Amino acid sequence: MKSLKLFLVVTLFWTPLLSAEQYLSEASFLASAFNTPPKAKSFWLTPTIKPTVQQLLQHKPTFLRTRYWQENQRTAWILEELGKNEPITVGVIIDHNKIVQLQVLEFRESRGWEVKHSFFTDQFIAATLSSEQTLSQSIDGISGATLSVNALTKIAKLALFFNQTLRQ
Amino acid sequence: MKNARKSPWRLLYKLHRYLGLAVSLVLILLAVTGIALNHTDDWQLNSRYIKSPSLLNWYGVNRPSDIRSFQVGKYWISQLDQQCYFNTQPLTTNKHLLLGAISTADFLVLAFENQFLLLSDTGSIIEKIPFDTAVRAIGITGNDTVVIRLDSNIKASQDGLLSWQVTGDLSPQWSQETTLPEPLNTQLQKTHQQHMIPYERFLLDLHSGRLFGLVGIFIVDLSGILLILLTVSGCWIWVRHRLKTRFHNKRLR
Repeated sequence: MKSLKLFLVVTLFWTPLLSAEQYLSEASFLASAFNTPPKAKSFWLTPTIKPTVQQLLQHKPTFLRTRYWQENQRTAWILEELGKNEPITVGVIIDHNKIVQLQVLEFRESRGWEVKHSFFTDQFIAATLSSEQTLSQSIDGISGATLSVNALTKIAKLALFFNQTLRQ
Repeated sequence: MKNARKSPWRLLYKLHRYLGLAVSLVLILLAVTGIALNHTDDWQLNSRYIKSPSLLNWYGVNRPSDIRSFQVGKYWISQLDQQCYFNTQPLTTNKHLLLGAISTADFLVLAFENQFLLLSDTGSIIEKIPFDTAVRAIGITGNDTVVIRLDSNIKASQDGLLSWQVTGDLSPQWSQETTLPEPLNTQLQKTHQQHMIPYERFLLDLHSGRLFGLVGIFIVDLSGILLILLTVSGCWIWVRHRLKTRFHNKRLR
């Protein structure tokens, strides 16, 4: 009985502990976005923009404030969205309202990590947000990584929307 | 008559029947759990938790977990295993230790080794802020400056944790671990146990047989092998029956 309990507890907890992986630190990401990273600013989810954020995420937002970095027309955002069970941290750089870089900074799920590769993330380059809150270009999915693909697509839309809101 | 009873075909029929009976229960279980697992998101099986004490006991999660608690004004922030709570409300998971919690004019700040969690006074998450150096302690000064102690120095933030500056000794009030009073402690332990095993995990363990340990896995594996045999014997019987009928019809013509 004791060994059965140990077996169940071990199988219950080992997977998420092994799967977390950081690919890029915040500092390295910001260094790739700006020559000298500017000071962080805060962006609040006001009651006016919350409904749109909820629409983009297809669920209630799990945060009320996010940090961003801005230099002229270029902004950098670090956002998180749930894959299947764990959040995926993604950095998005936007210049003149277009995505110039999207990178997975940290991936904690046990499956779907293929989305970190540039063959996938490069699809977001030059994407803009239409007035119907859709991306200007279609994103090809990856079999077996649907939830991670959806998470990255939502983050791309969210970053573009936040950037658009800043400009208004 | 005696020979017919002993014929290999009759044995095959018998084998097919009893194999079918033997695996039927396991197959029904696999089918039901399989259908449920296919609808994990639709039925929110990964965000609904097992609350039955006997099932929790079966999983061995009936013992109280180690708890770290910090009092922030009238609120209690606790961490049990990797799960954090605002009073008894589940907040988020963090594999690092909760090091302290303080209250500023705008929000509550929870410090982990590699992350700060900003909360509103209703327990809503405002923001998760990662931090690349190991934090050892968090405190606050009289003029609302958040102070953190690192291995090599002390840093302070006055802009809502957007930036940090190395500072001297500001004599902050460091957050200290406090014993959670009863009955909050008992209530929290119970809430925690009831937020450990999602239905998805239970169904996965039932589907794979893992819920019953190695014996369960063996039974599910064996049922799989028997199902293969059942399919082969079923096809065999069908082919034989078809050939027999065709031969019989030919003879009648």
